[in-house]
Amino acid sequence: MIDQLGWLVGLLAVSSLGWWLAQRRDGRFRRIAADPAGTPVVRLGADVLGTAPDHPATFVLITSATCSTCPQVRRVLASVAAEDPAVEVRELAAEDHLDLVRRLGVLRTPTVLLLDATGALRSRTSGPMKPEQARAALTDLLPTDVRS
Amino acid sequence: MTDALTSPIPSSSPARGAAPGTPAGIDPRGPRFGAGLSAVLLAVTLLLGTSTAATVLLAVAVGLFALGSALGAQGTVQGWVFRRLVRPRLAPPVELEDPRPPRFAQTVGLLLTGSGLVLVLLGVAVAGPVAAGLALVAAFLNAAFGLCLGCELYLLLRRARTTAA
Repeated sequence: MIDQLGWLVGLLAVSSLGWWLAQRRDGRFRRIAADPAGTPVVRLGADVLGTAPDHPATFVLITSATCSTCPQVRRVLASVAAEDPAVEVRELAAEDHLDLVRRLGVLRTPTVLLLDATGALRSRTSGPMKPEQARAALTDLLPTDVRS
Repeated sequence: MTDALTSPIPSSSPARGAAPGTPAGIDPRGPRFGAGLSAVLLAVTLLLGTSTAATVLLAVAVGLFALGSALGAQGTVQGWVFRRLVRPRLAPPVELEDPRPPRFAQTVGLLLTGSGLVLVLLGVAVAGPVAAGLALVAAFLNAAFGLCLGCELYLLLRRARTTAA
């Protein structure tokens, strides 16, 4: 019984630590650098999105059927886009775009991509997200005077 | 008995939580409460080691996960306890949740505890505590932090399946 109690406490401690380490990256956008010649590594257009991105900034939310935090992130992105006419939100089901999911190395949903006016991938993140994190990612793409 | 399905969602923002074509939402606190009960059951199972009592409790866990896998998290015994005893004491939910992710997670739990139980019955005694421990981690993370570990597996499985095909 003492042995098992040790296992129990150890398991709960290790899984809590693992969760804490993993969640620190949630919702934090990572910049995607262009290659030395200045061409973006990934560009998304009408073939994937249906119609080409036509806003200065486009969030692409990648969801799946068993995504428990997607509704929360969908709400956050919609509220941030509603504040700013330069921002648009698109949504892709991972199941329908497995090629893209594999090409971009998407391992979990929600994954959020941020595209510029040309459809070039500028930054990305995954997991639960706060509105401040979405707004912070936009400052890379939009001049601050446009956004009140 | 009022159900989560019939309660109105107070929503001031224009963005709704659910995408078009998704099933009716459930109170997200239900599956999380249920995961807490599952975690307690699995913790006791783990504490009992490789005894007969542990095998019986593991079989109970398999049964509960089977119910959740077949009916969704709201159809489990834990879901019933939540609706009868817990939810009447809570304020209405701020948002509703898609029932499919927690149901998928119940299926993952069923496979995990089910294979553990089969191995125990085949004489691999250590499989009992191992299966109980792994399922405990998933249930604990869900109850304590709202992380659905089983849900995270879904996309990885889909990716792997198409690669193999």
